[in-house]
Order: sequence, then structure tokens, then C-alpha cells
Amino acid sequence: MEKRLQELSNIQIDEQQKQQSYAQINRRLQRQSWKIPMIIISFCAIFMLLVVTTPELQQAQNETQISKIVVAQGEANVVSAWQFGVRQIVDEQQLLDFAAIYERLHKVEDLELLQMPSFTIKIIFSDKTSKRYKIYPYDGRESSIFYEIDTSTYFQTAESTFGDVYDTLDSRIENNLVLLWFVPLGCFMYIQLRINRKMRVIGEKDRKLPRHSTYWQSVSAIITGILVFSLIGNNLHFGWIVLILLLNLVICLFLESRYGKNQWRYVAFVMDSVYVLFFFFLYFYIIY
Amino acid sequence: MDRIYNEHYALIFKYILYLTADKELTHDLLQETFYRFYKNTRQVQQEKALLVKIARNLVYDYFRKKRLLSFIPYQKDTRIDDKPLPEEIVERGEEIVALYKALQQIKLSYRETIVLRYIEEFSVKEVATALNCSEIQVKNNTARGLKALRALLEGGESGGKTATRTFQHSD
Repeated sequence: MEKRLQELSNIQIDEQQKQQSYAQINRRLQRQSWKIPMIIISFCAIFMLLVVTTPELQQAQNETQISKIVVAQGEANVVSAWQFGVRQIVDEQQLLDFAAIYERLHKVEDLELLQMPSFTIKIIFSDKTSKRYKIYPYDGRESSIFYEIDTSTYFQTAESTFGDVYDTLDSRIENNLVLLWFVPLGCFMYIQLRINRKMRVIGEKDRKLPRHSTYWQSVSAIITGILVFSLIGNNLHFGWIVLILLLNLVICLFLESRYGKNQWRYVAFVMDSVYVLFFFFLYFYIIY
Repeated sequence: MDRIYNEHYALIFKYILYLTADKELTHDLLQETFYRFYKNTRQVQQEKALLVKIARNLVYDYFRKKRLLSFIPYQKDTRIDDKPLPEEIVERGEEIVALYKALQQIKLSYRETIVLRYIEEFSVKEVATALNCSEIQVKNNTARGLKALRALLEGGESGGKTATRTFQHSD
């Protein structure tokens, strides 16, 4: 058997093919790498996207119809609904209720308010202009004080309105579609697990391969998790989550290219990042 | 032409060819192996082992991709019987052809050990270095691979089928 196997050793080499391959390898080696410029361009593009999509604060010249209210509990930097702890009110009835209170605001002298605001809101009008307010309970919760952040002006509502303001800004529309959130998430998770299993196991079914090829990948993943969850309290924008996850992905792919060089692990990192992004996207899009 | 390329071209060519049984694919993977070697390697002492490692990773990646794509229906499944045999194998008679075909049917880890040990004539230590495993594992895989080959060759059609089921790597 061993002798017969050695006979397989005599395979003719095509010299022409050999020369061609060598020439092609040399051509490929002389080509400039596009990966680093592409990563830099991607980062720049995401930054630009964040800057462009962050709504500019414009002063309303003429008060027109309220089209949307973005609201957060307590004191917060409210920019858009794609922030943790911030939600938007677009329900017509809720907007009308709020508009009725808002129209009856009257300017008052500067006040010294010691307590924390109950809400921070951003009112977006139909002409795309916006105003930001902090809302305080006042006079034993009988009325509300609206403090306009950009002009540092105080306004007071008519009497006995704080309860109405509170109800309007705090109530949520019952949405049974929330349950459907689990369907795409579950499907995605199933596909992810199946692909991982298919790619990882070759022949040996019980062979367990480590998830990371170097412990630095684990460190990167842990730091990313800590970073995201520690910033959630500060009304973290979805764009920053994308950026942090992308950074983690680039680090993990770079480490993989230096240590493991396993194709399945590259795919697994990308799949994991997409899965976490998908989770947060659905959180903002459906839940909140 | 570069010394490393000249010295190891035949070795890498045979290694990939006997693992994949596909001449076209062998040329592609071989080119990629040397490309990666030249691109990422500054100074190296065991160039032979490193080249085998790169080629091995590429072959494994190829089989993984193939497994992944098997999700897609109507994917063309090219088996060893459908692939054209190398001319020099055909010329050496039925016995060698049978051995070549049997080699393609055994488990990938056995196949690569057999190829390196008997076709490339590596020592046990060299195989262990190239495949990043222990010498005992190399010896075990060699013995099991030879046993699987014997079962396939001696079993003929009926025995061959049983041996294939037992030893075939699911790539």
C-alpha cells in the first residue's frame, strides 16, 4: 500500500502554468491594498451620516401645527427618538391634547426652580422647526412651568394642567405588534446558529472550536458591552451604537487576520455584530 | 523565478490536488497560497511547513464554503466520479486509479496525513508541525487512513460502499 501511494507522487508539473501563476502572483503583490483606505472612508462616511442626520435646532418663526414631540423623562439632551430613554409622540389625539395646553402658555418672570424637571421635550412643528423645553410641576402641581432651553424663557400653563401634561407625555399607545418583534429576531438567531454550526464542524461532530482565536478578541467584546451599557443611561444615540459595534468588529477582524485566519470566524464576527445591531434597531423601531 | 516558489511548487500542487481532486481549483488555491505567503511573510525558517499550513487553511475554507452553500437548493454537487482524473494517474493503470479514487473517499484528516507522509514523504515530525498536531495523532491518523484505504480497495464495490460510509469525510 505504502509503495503504491508513493507512485502517486509522480505528477507532471505544467511549466507554462507554473510561470503564469508566478507572473500573476507578482502582479497581485504589486497592487495597492484598498482595505485600510476603505475602512477610513467607511468611518468618515458614518461620521458624516451622523452629522447630517442629526436634526438641526431651528427656531420656529411662526408657530404652526405640532407634528411630533420627542420626550424623555427627567433632564436629558433630547435630539431624536433614536436615543435610549427617548420616545416620540406622533399619535394625533395626543398631539391635539398637548397643543391645547401649549397654546395657552403665557410668559412669566424668571423663576428659581429647585426641583428636577419632570420631562425634557422637543416639539417639532410641521415646518420642520423645533423648540426644546424642560417641564416642571409648579404651585403644588396645580400648573406646569415650561422652560424654553434655547431662549432661557419661562412659561406657565393655565391652572390645573400639570396632570393633563403628565398624562399626555407619559401615556403610550398599546401596540400588540411588539410580540412580532421576536419573530425576525428568533429567525435571525436560528440562521446565525445554523450557519455557525455548519461552518465550524468539519467531519468531527464533537470537535469544539474556541469562539475567539485570541483572548484580545474577548477583551474587545467585553469592553464593547461595558461601553454600550454604561452609556445607555446618557441617552446614547443609535448611531453611536453602530459606531462602537463597527469598531469592535474591525478590531476582531484585524485580530483574526493576525492570529486565527479562520474564514468561519470572520463570518461569525460579522453575523454577531449584525445580530446585535438588529436587536437594537428593533428595540428603537418597535418597542420604544 | 523565486527560490521558494521553485522548490515548493510541486509539493503544494500535489498536496492540494490530492485533497481536492480538482485541477482547476488546485491552480487557484496554489496561487492564493503563494500570494498569502509572500504578502504576509517577512522572515521564515520553516517555509515548507508554513506553505502547507496556508494551503491547508485554504482547502478547509473551501470545504466549509461548500458546506455552507449546500443550503442552497439546486447546487451542483460534483463528486469524485464526475471529476476528470489527472492523465498521469490514468496512464498508470486501474490499480492506481482505484487508489486515487479511494484516497478521495477517506476522511479529510486521514487523507492529508497520508498525502504528506507517503506522497510528499514528510517525516512524522514534519507532518505534526505542518498540521499543528501531536506526533501520536499523526501516527494514529496514518494507521486509520491506511486501514480505511485497504477497506475501500479490498472491499470492491460492496465493501467499498460500506467503507465509504464509515470513513468518508462529509465535504
